[in-house]
Amino acid sequence: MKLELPLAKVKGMGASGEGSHHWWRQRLSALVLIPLTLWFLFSIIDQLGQSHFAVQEWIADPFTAFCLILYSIFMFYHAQLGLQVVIEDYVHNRGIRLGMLLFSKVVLLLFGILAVFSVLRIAL
Amino acid sequence: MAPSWATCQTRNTSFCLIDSQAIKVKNITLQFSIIGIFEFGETESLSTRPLSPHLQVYRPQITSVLSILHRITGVIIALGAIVISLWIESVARGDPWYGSLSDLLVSPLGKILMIIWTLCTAYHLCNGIRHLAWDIGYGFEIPQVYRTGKLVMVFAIIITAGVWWI
Repeated sequence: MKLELPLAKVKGMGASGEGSHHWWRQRLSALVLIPLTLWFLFSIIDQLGQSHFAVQEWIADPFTAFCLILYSIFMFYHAQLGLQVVIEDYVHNRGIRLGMLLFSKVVLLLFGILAVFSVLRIAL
Repeated sequence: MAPSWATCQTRNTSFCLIDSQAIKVKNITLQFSIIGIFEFGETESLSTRPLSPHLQVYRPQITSVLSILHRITGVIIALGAIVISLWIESVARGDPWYGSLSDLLVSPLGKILMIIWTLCTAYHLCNGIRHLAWDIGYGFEIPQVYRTGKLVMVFAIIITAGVWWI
């Protein structure tokens, strides 16, 4: 049984009035994050407690820098999408919900940018 | 004919329909008889009654527990991501900043928090793969759901142990 109206199908929108982009992006970013997260988990633990010079060398390595930037972008993006769903599900007051959504988006965007910028600063 | 039942709700009346009695409306045969009408006050009726999955009385099951864990671990990972971001920034900023943050992270409390973060990430990763499998239509049978659920927990622990102690 199809519950979607033809017009809604053309517009690509569901019940939320926003379309299925969110759902797709969450899945696609998850897919990209599978190898990146495994790489990150197994390499970051070795770096903990290392000297500043050693960590700098590690991040400056082109492969590490590339993976770190990709990981930061996709991880913060995926986190934002996930937090959005959690907030939408559990915060019922419209004002508080809007505030929390904006806050989580801004905070994650800022820290994502900080991570990418810092890697570039070290690597370049 | 076997008894069947249904409940109906209007704005301030809830009533229970039970058993069979044929009523013909146009060409459709409806079978029911009203055995009781339970009245509720206007304010008490729909607004204050609990919504359907009331978690307070639900027995925790592997399905529901793993599901909520996926969200909780997701939030914890997001918080940890902020720490990672600050850590990379401290490397870019220079030694005194890197040193103090690094000391915090390798302290006993820091280490415990990081092991928890690793476990959360490993769990979210494994359970995320399970979710992606569901999204393309695999693993919906109840025995499979239980088996993959246990598998996810085992793999999360194996990955965490592998990361920290190998």
